[in-house]
Amino acid sequence: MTANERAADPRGAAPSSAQGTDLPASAKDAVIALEGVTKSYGSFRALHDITTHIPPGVTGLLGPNGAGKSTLIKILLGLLKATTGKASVLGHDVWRDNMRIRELVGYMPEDDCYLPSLSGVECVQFAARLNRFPAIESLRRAHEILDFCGAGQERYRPVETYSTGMRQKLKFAQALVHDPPLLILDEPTSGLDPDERESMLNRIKLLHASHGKSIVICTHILPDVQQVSGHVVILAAGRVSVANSMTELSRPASPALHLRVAGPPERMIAALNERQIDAQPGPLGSVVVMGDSEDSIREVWRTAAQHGIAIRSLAPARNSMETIFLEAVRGSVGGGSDANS
Amino acid sequence: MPIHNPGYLPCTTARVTSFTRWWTICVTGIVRTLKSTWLKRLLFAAFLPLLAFAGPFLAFEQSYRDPQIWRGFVAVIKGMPQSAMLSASVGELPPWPTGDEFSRIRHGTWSFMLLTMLRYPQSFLIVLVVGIVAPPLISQDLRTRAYLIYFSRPITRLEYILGKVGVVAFFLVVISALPALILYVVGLLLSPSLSIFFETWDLPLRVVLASLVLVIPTTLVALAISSLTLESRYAAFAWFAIWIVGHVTYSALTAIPSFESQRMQTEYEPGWRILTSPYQMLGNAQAYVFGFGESVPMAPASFGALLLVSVVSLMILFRRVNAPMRV
Repeated sequence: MTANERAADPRGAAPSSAQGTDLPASAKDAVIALEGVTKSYGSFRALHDITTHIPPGVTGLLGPNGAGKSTLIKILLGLLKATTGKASVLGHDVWRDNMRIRELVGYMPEDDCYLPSLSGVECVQFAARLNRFPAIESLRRAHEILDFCGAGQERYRPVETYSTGMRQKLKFAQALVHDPPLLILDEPTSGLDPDERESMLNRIKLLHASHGKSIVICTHILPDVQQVSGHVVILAAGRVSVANSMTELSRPASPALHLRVAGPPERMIAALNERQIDAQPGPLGSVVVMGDSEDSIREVWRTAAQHGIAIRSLAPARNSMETIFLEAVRGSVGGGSDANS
Repeated sequence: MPIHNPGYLPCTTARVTSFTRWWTICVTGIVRTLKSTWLKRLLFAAFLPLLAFAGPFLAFEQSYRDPQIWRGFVAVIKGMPQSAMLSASVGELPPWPTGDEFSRIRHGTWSFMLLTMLRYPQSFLIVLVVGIVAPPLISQDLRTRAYLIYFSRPITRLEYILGKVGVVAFFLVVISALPALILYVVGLLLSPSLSIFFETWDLPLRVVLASLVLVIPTTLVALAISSLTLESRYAAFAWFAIWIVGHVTYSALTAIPSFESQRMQTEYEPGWRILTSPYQMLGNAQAYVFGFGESVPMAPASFGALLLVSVVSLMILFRRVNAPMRV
């Protein structure tokens, strides 16, 4: 079953197919498909010929400030019309079927947005009612979602008295209350303490893993993306710099192992070099061993045993999200070649 | 925390029709607005004129018993502003009407009393209540970015505006139409026979129509002002300024000619000057609706001006409500 079919199933209405929006066959499975999307504000071009397909699952949408993320989200929700290009969300054309898309998408804005003088549960109930829930059912569902979001008795307090963390939970609950197949979360962990942040990320993972929801996370907190995302799209200066799976992006240009040993690393480096294994000092007292084949790993263990060096950790080297992001923004990352795939 | 938390549950709730969305916005707006204590006090005050106007109704309907009551009633009516309007409609009030004369003047007299209640105490309260209710309705949404809550869901601009208009209209109807309709029913109950309903059946319809004439332009203007700023207090200031400046301008333009006509003992007709004051324009239009068209020659111009103001306000609203999305 494709993501589009999954999205259409709960509502019992088949979405218009990707072909309906004249998008190529590769866009069929994509929850979001963009083809040459450009958005200009007068002479300023916010988005420049964006072509990318976001697959089902959790996708991190990254980019420095002013990269065009918010503009892209508004286009996806049908709030803004692209100057040129085509876009579809869950198989629906963003401009022609924008009302249908907004029924199928749960959007959590980055900005603090609330209706003063309403309590938290009233706010979520209101969001449910805007999504055509009956009055009593919307109240029941609001409580159910607030329970899931970890909101306690504070749900009865006026929202203007909420802390930042509580407001984040409230916005998340409002986005989720109508059980949308696609969630667009703008900075979902911003302002949360480490414990709450972990809980929020767990909820995101659970919604994808157990309930098959597709989730797009826009954030500046790169470890969050690394923790939950299976796919990453990086925007820079209105263009897609990177669009690839997290596995591909994390793989370094040349395979290597990261090794931590007890005691000074120089002894281990010398011992490995004696065996014609390319080993160099890495960051924070680690050792980088080039190559990650089975033979290399066996040689590392053998060398350590012979020289009586204790290995504390041995892991394949991975590009950090920071590295990926910075290289993408500077326009020199390898994954950029996949941007328009 | 809940005793039993089953975690996330998919939702299979059957949805209601999409036509309820504007109603949801409207009801939520009313609930939020009613949390203001001052507003509740004003709403209570809106029903006090009902007691004051029930007296003349009682006096009129019971005066066939005693000429003394009639004389008292006439004195009260003559003391009301624009009583010349009633004379122009039903002629000079007789010293003590007979049964047939009562029937002849009843419709005009009731209309005049209902119009006076709407035109004076209720209009003053309407300006105050709209000044409290309308300014935050859109400006607060813009300031707190609550527009994202609405427009990230399948809400059209029309539904949003309709919902907001509904909030203001609700309070205006509660202040204008509801007390007037209650007064009409009180008048019927105080009258010697319920058959009087057949003489006055059109008055409730005129009350509703006069309320619409009042509600539509005032609501749209108040919301248009609210949409032009992020600060509710600026919107409230602009709202009151429109009424005060309009009234002062009208008074300044009409004071000298009015004084001159009083001195010469002629009737003064303010003419186009009425269009400088929203209060006078609305009063003219309402007087026309209640059947006092002969006394308000500028009524068509007032209707035209109110229509123009409403259309311009609606255009501003549509443009401004979409504005945050364009950036």
